[in-house]
Amino acid sequence: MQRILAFAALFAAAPLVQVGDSVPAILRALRLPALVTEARLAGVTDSVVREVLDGLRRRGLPADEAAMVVREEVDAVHAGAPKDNFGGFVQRQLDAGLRGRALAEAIRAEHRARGIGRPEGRPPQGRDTIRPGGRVP
Amino acid sequence: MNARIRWLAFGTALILAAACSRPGGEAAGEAGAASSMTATDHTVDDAVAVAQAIEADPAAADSILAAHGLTRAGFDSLMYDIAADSALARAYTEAIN
Repeated sequence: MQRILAFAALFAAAPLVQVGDSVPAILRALRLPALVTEARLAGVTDSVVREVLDGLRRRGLPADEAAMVVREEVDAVHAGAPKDNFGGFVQRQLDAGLRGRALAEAIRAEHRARGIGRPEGRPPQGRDTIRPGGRVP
Repeated sequence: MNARIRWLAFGTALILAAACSRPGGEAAGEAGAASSMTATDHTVDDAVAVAQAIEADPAAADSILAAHGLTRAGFDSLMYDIAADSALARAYTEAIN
C-alpha cells in the first residue's frame, strides 16, 4: 500500500505544465477586464457582458481563455455583428465542450462564415493581443 | 477481498493525482478553493500593481503573483471579478493603458 501511495504522490507532484509556460496565459488574462470594457464601450449591455462572463466562469474557463473568447466577440461586434448576439455562439460551443484555442478558432470560423471579422491568420487590428497595455506601437 | 480494496485505493489515488496535476486545475472554476487569498481581498489597485509589475518583467509573473498573495486560480478569479464590474473594469483598463 505504501508503494502505491508513494507512486500516486510522485504522479501528483509532477507538473504537466513547466514553469514559464504560464507567462503568455497570464499576460492574456491581464487583458480580460480591458477587453470587457471594450465590449461595453462598443455597445454591448452590461447584463449581456455579465451573462457571458458568468457562463465562461461557471464552465471553469481560465481567465486567459475567457480573454481569447471575449476578444473574438469584441472584434465581431466592431466588424458589425449584432450586439445582442454577443456570446450566444460562444455559449453553444462551450455547451458542446470546446475550450481554449479550439473554441477561439470555432468562433473565428463562425464569424468568417458570416462575413464578419478579420481574415484568417491576421491579428486584431491595432491591438497587441499579449501585452496588457494593449496597443501595438 | 484485500486485493480488491488495494485496487480500489490505487484507482482512487490515481484519479486524485490526475485531478491535482492537470493544467486545467488552475482554471477559474476550481479557483476559489485553491487560492490563498480570495479576489475580494484584492483591490483594483492591487490588480493594477500586479499587471504593471508583470508587464515590466513577464518572466517573473509567477513570483509576482505569489508576492501579492495570489495563486494562478486566485489571479484568474480576480480578473473575472474586475471584468464583471463595469466601474472596476474601466478603472483597471485606464490604469494599465
